[in-house]
Amino acid sequence: MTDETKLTALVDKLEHRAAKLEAINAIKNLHYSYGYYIDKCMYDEVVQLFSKDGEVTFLSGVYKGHEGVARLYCTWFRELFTGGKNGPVDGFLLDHIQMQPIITVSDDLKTAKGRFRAILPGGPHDSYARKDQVPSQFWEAGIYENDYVCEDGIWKIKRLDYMLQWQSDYEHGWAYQESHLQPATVCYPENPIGPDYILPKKRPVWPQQQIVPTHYPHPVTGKMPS
Amino acid sequence: MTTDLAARVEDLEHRITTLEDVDAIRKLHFAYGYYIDKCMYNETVDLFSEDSEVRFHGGVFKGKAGAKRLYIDRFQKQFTGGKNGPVDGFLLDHMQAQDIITVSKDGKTAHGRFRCFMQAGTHEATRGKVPLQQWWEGGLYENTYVKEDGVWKIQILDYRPFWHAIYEQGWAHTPPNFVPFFAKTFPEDPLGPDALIEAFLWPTHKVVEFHYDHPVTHKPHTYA
Repeated sequence: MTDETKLTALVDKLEHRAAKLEAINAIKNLHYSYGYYIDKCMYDEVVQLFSKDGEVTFLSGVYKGHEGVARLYCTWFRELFTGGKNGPVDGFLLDHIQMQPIITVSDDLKTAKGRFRAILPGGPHDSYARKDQVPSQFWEAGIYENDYVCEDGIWKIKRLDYMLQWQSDYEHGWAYQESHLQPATVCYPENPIGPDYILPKKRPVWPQQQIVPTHYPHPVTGKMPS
Repeated sequence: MTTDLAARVEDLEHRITTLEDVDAIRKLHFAYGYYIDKCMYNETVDLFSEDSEVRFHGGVFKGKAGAKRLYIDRFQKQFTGGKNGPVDGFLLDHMQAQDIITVSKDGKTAHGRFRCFMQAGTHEATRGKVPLQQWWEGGLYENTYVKEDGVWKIQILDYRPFWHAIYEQGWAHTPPNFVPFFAKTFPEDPLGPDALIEAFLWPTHKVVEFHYDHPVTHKPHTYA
């Protein structure tokens, strides 16, 4: 092998490694943007983060494609929280704090998986006009295990899988509360804000506990947790 | 080496530099958070460039002199009685998360959005000295950075505290004007900002503008 052939092979490899690091950053920014949009009830922007065939799993229900994703965010959440406005309203808090990313990009740089943690302080202020329609001030925590796809050089959410872990109202704390959100029971269209289908095995919510499977093997042993 | 290969290596060098810059800026801001936790205000001031600004709570503190007025003359005196470091019984955890960092094409400036989630207050044993109750605070940063002689520094620290909650009551019952905005400028207020800017606090709720366009559509945001 000539020196130039060797050098070309090395540059090929380095380009691939740089592209992987860039992809990790892009996916982290994508998910963190999602968190910032949810904070501010910017649901049109949330829907646009998904690929056309993207989907969301929420409360053991799956919302499919842009239509299903919009049913969850725009028809359900936006109508409930802001009365249809794409943006925040005074007196309604929904901070969606995102952290702890573990992102794995496929070797062909076309797909990726990401795990994140969320903690949410949320709920209405005394001054919020619609406070009888939403839960009173609460904490919520959840874990994401998402799939991503790169289309024409742009990373998009292929599957957002939010696994709600626990909720509690502010006054009592998690020691005394069951999650106010329970797994979905009725699908769309019977339920106009329901999912397209419900997972065969519903996921329990607090005070029940569950393992949240990881997309990645143990970082030291290389084995999948059993 | 062929021209093609040389161009690829140059491009790679630029991409790696950008990745390193993103990392350096995250580290800079996270270090800021760790200093604020522990009332290390001398170290905080040293994170800024000479022509920097701190935008905070309706005020702009300009240059290093402004930063010193805010962190050393105001906070250090108020929180620790002038000590550069933490004091027993005063909590100010300044948790930082959710970094979105964008470096300019020329690699000389950058923007960063971060989330802050705070737990603060005084322990009852020391409450007499620092009369602050225990509270939560949530807010966002939209900062600007500059690289000077190879070192990233804060050029504009733009902190937008958004909501506060008294621990015992929660954010549902935050009284209006819970933390009053700066109303007077320096030198009329000897610890005040150099200028006043618009700000809002919970239960008012507005978008803190984004330094970047939508990551998928690349279009500006459409919030109302």
